[in-house]
Amino acid sequence: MKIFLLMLIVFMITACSSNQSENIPLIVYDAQDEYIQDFAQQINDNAGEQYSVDIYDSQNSQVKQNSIVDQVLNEDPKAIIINMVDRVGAYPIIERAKEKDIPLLFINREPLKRDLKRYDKAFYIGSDAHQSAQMQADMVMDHFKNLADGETVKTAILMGQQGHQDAEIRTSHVIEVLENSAFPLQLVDIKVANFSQSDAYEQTLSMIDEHETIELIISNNDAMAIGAIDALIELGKMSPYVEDETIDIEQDPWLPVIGVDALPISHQYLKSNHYYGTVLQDSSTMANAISEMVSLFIEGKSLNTYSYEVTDGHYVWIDYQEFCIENE
Amino acid sequence: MKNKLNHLSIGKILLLVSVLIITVSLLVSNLITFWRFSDTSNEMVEETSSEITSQILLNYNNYTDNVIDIAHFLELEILLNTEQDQMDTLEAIFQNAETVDSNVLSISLFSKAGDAVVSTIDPPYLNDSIAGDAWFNRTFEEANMFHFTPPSIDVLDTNSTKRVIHMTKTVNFYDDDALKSGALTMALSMDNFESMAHGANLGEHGHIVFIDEHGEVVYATNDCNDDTCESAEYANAMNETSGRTTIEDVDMFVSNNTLNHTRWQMVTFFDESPTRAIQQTVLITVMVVLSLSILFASLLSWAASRRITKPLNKLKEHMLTFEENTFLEPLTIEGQQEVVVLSETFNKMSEEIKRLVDRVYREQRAKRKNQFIALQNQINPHFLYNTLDSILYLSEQQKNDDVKQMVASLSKFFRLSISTESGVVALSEELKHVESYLAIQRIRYQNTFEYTINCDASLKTFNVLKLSLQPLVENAINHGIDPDTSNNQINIHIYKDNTFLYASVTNSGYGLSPAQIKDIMAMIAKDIETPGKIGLANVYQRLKLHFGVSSDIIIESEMDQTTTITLKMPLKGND
Repeated sequence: MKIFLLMLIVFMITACSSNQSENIPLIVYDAQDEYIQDFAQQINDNAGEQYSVDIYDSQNSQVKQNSIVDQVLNEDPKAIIINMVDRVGAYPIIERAKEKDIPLLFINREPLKRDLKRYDKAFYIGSDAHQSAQMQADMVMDHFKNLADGETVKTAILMGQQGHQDAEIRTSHVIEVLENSAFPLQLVDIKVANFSQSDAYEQTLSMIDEHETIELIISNNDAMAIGAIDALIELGKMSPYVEDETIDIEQDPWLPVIGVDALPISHQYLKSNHYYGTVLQDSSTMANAISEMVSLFIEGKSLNTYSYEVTDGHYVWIDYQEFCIENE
Repeated sequence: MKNKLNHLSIGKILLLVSVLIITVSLLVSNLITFWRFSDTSNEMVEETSSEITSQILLNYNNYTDNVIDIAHFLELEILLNTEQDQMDTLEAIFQNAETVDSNVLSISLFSKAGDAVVSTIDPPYLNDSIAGDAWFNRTFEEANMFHFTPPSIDVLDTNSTKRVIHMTKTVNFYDDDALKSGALTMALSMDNFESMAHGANLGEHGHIVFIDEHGEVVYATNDCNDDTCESAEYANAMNETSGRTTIEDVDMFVSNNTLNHTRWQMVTFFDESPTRAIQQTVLITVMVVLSLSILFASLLSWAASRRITKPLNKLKEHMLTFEENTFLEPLTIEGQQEVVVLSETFNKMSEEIKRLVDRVYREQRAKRKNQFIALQNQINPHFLYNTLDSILYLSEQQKNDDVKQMVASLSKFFRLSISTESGVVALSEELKHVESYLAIQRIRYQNTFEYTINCDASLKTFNVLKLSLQPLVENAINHGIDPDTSNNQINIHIYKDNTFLYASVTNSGYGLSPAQIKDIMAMIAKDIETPGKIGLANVYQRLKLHFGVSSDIIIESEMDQTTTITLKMPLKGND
């Protein structure tokens, strides 16, 4: 009787474990970050039946994140999805994962190339901020293609958090591209608005107050662009927004505002022509690329069958897409 | 082993079981307590260490965050001010920034070629040949991140002898309206960096070692100068963020964390030897308390088991004595109810047995006395009949002298017979009796036999059964005397060895075969009355009754020569 019971229990345990799908840890730098929350949700939705995503919150502390990594490495997952707190501090984590032969998928914050090169199963899946800057520059140049000689474009930049890789690159690269393209850029101000709509609103109000004319506002993201548009409407530099109506950018007071992300909140201003253009950060494709790679590692398959291109053996770049009024 | 255990006394089993239970339970509870204590104290060390480490990290993060914030601020100012050719403004901003944070010793903007664009260092002391330096070049290899050099003598300010960390980052600036890439460099004072590391409370031997991505020691608060020191070797071998080790024979709890932005690992060695010492003290205390408790408990249970078994043992001893000797004083036992009841019951039982044995003894004694008297009385009629028969015969033959002598002897014989109440007489008396008898019989048998009595005078005081020798002599005459010859011989011999007194009567004659002897012995033992042999069986029975089992009658015979019948009587209790 006892032996029978024992066998039953053993059977139940093995039955359970064989049915259990894999748990894949997703370690985010800070669960308070709304963009990260959305992105983690998308990765989770993409996981489907094959695996479940366990989300760990590093609470913006590298110490906390390191101990989470220790903990999950000991559970021998088939892969770890990680969003570094400090991107330059990735190498000890890469070394530890390499020792246990557990694939690492970095998201959102890109580790240094020489760190990724330490381990052939360390990948960065994301978008290249340079590309978004390039696209913003292209849109700017497209809009101002008919400038007369000697004419300059008085430009202000709304910048995300300083130190944030995307903010830094988007800001510096859009300037670099425009300058290198001999665009008559006249940089009048750079305001740090921390990717926030309300910060951007305040910063734009003071910016307009400081500088007599601003002919172009380049924003690191949609939220700040919308804040800027709201401020411009407030100051009468743009016509007020009326639902289902478009403004005439030639006749009405207007100046181009360019952003990144193409979030749903930006669509109404795009439709009404208040918002000149934005760049789509394709996070659903990004989540899909992550899910597919995790699946390949769970199934023990090589990356030869992977639908996305792996650049340099470590990077999966998800392209930005131009998202203008014309796109609608 | 099992058998051995089964045969242990109650006391030992009680002792063994209680000591075993006490030992096991104390051992288990003490060890669990110790393990729990050990775990808890280890956890406390880990908690304390990680709290301290977090605090140190927080301090360093503040240190780097502050200078990085300044750098970020400057980065925008560089871009905007150079765009508008406001170089003086920019320099003023640099100067202000330098004074805002005491950690910042100098701020400079270099072009990619290594030419100083703006600097807070006085021009004569500014090192302008940094273009080829590795640390400078690395800034451009990896743009958009902060680079930190290991502490070294300030390479930018030739006037300074201080050890500094150089922080660099690529920035864009306008040079005559052309956008260029340059390097913002800040020299950071080591004073705060060092005091933060040294101020950490990591215990007596606790220390911090900073190592870079190549495992090289960047800075250490102890004498760890390169990657061959024990701490650095352990730190480089770590594959988890925490661990335990001994550094120079001191127990350490080690935490390994990256310092934000710097690519340095800060490895804190927390001295946990005080905790180890406490754990050891506690372990020793636990062991001592454990040993004392077991000893104390053993003594207690030994006393308790003794309290239980002492009355039982007393009862057992009493019973053993009872086995050997019936006559015992009643036993009084104090102790457990059960044992008291048991002893009372035993007392009643032994009293009852004693009473019964006494009764049986008295009955047996009475019975024996009656039997004895009866047996003794059996002798007389035979002899009287035979003697009177002889006297009749002698009277018929007109042998008056003989009749006279015979009657005198008979009278003497009977006087002896009735002289004492008891069945025991001195040997001398019995011999007189036998001589009287022999005198009677010699007359009766017309002197056809001779007799001798050989007895040492010292033996004459021994007691023998009254009328025990006479039936043997009677027997010898009846069976050994051939009336047709005159050389019949009867010899009486009394002798002794260490334990027995022997009285033998030897007569000449046909003798007896061993089979006959066996038959006779069987008959006398069974007390079967055989005509002519009544005397022998009678003596045998009386002998056994009086002297006990060790006494005996021995019949020996040499065919056609002699027959000897010997009485064997124990000397013990015979004087």
